[in-house]
Amino acid sequence: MYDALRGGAIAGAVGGGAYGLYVALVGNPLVAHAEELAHHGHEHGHGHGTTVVADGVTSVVSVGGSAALGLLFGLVVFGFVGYLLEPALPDRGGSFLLGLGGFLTVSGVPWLVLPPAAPGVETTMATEFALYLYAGLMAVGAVACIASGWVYHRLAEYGRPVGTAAALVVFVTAVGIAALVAPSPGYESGVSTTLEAAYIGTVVVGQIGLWGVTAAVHEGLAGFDSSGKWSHSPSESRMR
Amino acid sequence: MSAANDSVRNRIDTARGTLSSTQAGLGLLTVTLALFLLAFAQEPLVHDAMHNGRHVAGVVCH
Repeated sequence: MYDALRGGAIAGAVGGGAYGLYVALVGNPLVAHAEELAHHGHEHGHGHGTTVVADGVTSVVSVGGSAALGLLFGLVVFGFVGYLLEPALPDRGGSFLLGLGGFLTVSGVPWLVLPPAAPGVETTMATEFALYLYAGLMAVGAVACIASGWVYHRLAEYGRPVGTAAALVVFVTAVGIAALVAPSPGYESGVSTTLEAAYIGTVVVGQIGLWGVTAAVHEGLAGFDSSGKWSHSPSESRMR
Repeated sequence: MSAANDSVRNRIDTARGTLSSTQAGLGLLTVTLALFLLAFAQEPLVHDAMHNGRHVAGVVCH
């Protein structure tokens, strides 16, 4: 159990580090740029011009916070949840399934209703409500992922395609209903569509990168036994 | 995965045995608090400091 947590933490630290670097080199400049454009365009209500915190502090805390987020994801999703679900995951590629589940839960499913919005884009929804909604959709995503895994195992005896198809149906149905039922905000764009597209691309690449790197490290770690020696069969060291 | 005695239910039992309820509670609390601070806190100081990070993570904040 503690081995699993340690592995998750290591993977999360590497993923979080890479993601922090990404935020520092790509994210921060882009947000700053978008905000500058937005301020030139129109005055917007949130008042980032008069923030409590200096821009430099925001950049540093955002990088540190992003790295911490990676560590947290690693510890919780790959360490704890990964330990609990390990018997149900395939020997190879299990970490990537965990990563996919994590991405869908934390980002993918909530984005269906609340897509990432560039700074300067106003939503017609109260911020607090939008955040509760985001958290609720994360819960929907987690339940949908676990439910499809469960269905897969119930039906896998009829063959993998059947199990996989059933799992997909369960996931799409659960998420689809949630996305239809949830109130979705209107967006009032103050920035160009090009910037908007570039911004959304950056966000999506960043999240996929975070989960991808963490999953790859985690998958790699499974090949080592606790003494640090590479054992060629990942499944054996996982079985312990 | 093939072994009958290695199942998700078993893992949950093992985790129950390994972690005391205090440990589990503390862990859950820490994780919730960290996630809340990073993504959902509305307190201006915290909120503004994580502003860029939240934007890059694609969490709508305003």
